[in-house]
Amino acid sequence: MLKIDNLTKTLENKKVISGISFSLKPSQIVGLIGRNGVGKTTLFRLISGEYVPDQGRVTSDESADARSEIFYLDSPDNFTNAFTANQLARIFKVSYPQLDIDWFKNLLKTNNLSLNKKLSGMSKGQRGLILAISAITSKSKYIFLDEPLDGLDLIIRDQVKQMLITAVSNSDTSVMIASHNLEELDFLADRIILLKNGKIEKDYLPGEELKTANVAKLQMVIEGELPKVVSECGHILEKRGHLYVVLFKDYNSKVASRIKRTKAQYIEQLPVNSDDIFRATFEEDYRLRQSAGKRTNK
Amino acid sequence: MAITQKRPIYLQLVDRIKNEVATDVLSANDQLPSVRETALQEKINPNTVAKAYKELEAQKVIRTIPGKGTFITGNTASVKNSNQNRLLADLSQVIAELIKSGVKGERIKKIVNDILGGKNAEN
Amino acid sequence: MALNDASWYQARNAFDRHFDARHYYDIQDYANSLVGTKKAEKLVNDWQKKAAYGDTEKFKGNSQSNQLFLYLSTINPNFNNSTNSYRKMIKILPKTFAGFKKEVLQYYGDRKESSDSSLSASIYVSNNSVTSIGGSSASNYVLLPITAKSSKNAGPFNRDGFYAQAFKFNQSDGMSSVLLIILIGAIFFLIDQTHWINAYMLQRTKNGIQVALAKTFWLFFLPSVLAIFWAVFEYLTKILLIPGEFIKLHFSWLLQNEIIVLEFATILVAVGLLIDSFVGTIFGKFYTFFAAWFSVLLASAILAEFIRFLAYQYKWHFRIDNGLRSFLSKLSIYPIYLLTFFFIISIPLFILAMYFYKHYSLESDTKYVRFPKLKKPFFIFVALLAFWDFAFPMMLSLFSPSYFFSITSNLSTTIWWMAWGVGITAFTWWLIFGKRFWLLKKRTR
Repeated sequence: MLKIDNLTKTLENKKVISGISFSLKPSQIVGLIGRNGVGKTTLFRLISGEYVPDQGRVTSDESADARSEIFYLDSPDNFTNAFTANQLARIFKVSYPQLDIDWFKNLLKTNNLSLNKKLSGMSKGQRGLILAISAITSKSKYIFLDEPLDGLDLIIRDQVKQMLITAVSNSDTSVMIASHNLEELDFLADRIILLKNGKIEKDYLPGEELKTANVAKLQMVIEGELPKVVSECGHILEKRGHLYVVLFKDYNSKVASRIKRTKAQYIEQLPVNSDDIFRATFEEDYRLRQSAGKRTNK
Repeated sequence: MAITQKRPIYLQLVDRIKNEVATDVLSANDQLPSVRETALQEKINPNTVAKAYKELEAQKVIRTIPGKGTFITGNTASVKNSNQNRLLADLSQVIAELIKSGVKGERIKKIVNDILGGKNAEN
Repeated sequence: MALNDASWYQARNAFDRHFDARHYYDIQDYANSLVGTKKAEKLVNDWQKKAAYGDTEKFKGNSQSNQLFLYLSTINPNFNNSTNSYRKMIKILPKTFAGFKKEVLQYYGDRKESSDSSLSASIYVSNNSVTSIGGSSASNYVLLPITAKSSKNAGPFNRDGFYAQAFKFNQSDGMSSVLLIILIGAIFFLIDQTHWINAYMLQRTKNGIQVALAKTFWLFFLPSVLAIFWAVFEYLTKILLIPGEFIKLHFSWLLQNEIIVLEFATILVAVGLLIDSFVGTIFGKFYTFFAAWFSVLLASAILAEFIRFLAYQYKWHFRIDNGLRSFLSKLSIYPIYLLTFFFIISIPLFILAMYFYKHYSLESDTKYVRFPKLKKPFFIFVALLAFWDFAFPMMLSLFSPSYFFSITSNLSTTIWWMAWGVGITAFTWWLIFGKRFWLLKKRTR
């Protein structure tokens, strides 16, 4: 288990990460979501040791040096561009003695990737695939991927996902993926961590959103005035005639009983997904944008 | 006003697999894809798939052999049986609703006879 | 360079054309005949007043005593400095003509002088800049007369006078080793920078110290080993190019030289690492590297000047312990002591650099001063330096007119002088804080 304990980091006088703690269990796929610039990459850099945290530490149950268990490459445009896949395998072999070079080469061959061509000469998708293959064949316990599927075509996306799933299913490997593609994460991750203002806002299990994230999505038929509970606690996603789709963050028994007491003619609970949770969390950002839009319209 | 809910996704998956067993799409000792693979194929979250598998295991439709995978159990007969019961229950519910909405019993009988008759003719 | 032996062969050619055994033995007999006579005392007196013959100085007169002087000068230009005894002076004349030739054409200079003075001369600093490292040892000069032996007037030092030519034998030790260190270090650094492996290295190592040690290996250890290997190789292989009897190897000298090379490399690395850990990139790493070396050289010059200044002050204003004073004055005059002094200072600097590396975090790569807490102190330091170098002399000049004229001969020089001080301060401000001065800021309404 990898324990991230109270990580804090200030960059440019701004607290980017403040007191983040969580742990990664073996054989887990964890999604990391949040708005652009919320500190997802900073968090990965702190965990991997590229940044020195102001506070907090990263420890591993398996090894005294947690970093030896972690695979992370900061951005697609990193040092790897200067090398061929063959050379990279040898470099990674030094850092990750468990790296299976035969497996690495096999995976490259099955994906029709050249072993002797510099990565800088390859397409973005090919580079992404090679890095994903490196991560998996390194047999690291904890793999951190920053937007691994970004810019890859559908077929390569499926291949990468399949590889990740195989790695997680067949070994103790855990994968943490930072992504903006929430729909994709919903099918991939067993757990999603949502960052807001440098802190963990929600840490939930997809499929169990109501229980773990306290978010509910209700379809309601309301005639006349909107009930108070809807305008106070809810966020209207959709409105067609008298039919409202309302998202409630911080949905609890109190809110539920208030909803039951409304004069709504029909209430149905809909399945919640990460898109909904994301919207609910950053609701105020919507309002800000809307008010900004109105101002310019005047 | 009570809050209603559609049948949860995991129960939908349970029904589907049971249905596939009952209609011999899946037979005894067939291996099911892993939780994560199913999730990816069906575009459902792995937690949901795991919940469905747990439910199926509780109902003894499938069993998991550690390190090998998930397989359909040998008692397909009882799955078929319970599936038939479920379908029959559905049928009686539909008939009750039809009568409630004013459809005459004769008409329903005719449809049933037509379907059964057609099937008999085929045999 | 190893193959740079042409000048030696040229010198041998000149020697063969001008000297012959018969004349040498004649003069030797003459010299021996004078031992204990009054004339010998007179000659010693004369010789001590006489300078050795210079590059283009024309010598006239062909007396035997004059010729003896010239022979002795050829063997050792300073033969008349160290002793008052005629017997001792002529003792340096070798017994045979072959011995004379061997003595004169020795490729590696005679290093029998006391190790202290020769070591101190081994790094020669003039006008505050390191002109040559290995000073007396970097090249060995031999002065030989250039007239034809077949001249009517017998003897190499003939009546009509002659011209002397200096032959320079480049030595295998010295500046070239240090240059090699810098060159190899720079090449490795360039490779390191183009491969851009820093973030990954930081991540895979326990902390920045390993990165620093890896850098030290490539920037210091390997270049030093190569430089020393090269120097030793060059030193020893001379024997393949020049007849063996003209090569006298001085291993103690070689050892001393390599110690100097190592000291120099250590200083460069300690200061270089400190700068690298402390000051980040502005135009990219490569430029930082060169800026760092320039800063090292500049800082050494300033520090040398400062120590010289202090020693001067001590000498004239304070009565201090003799030992300390002689150490300080030696420090200011003989840079070998200065180098060792720097070397000792460089060890805590190296530890300090390691401390900085231990807390090396990737985001500091984009900042000029890596540690936010050090931004202000560093700027104050630079501002004070600028004041010391530019404003302080200006103020001094108000009290001492001669000083005023020495630095500010006219108004434009003065303005430039001030502009430099202000410019450096402003540039540093911009680098560190990335802001404009309030005066330069655009006024917003």
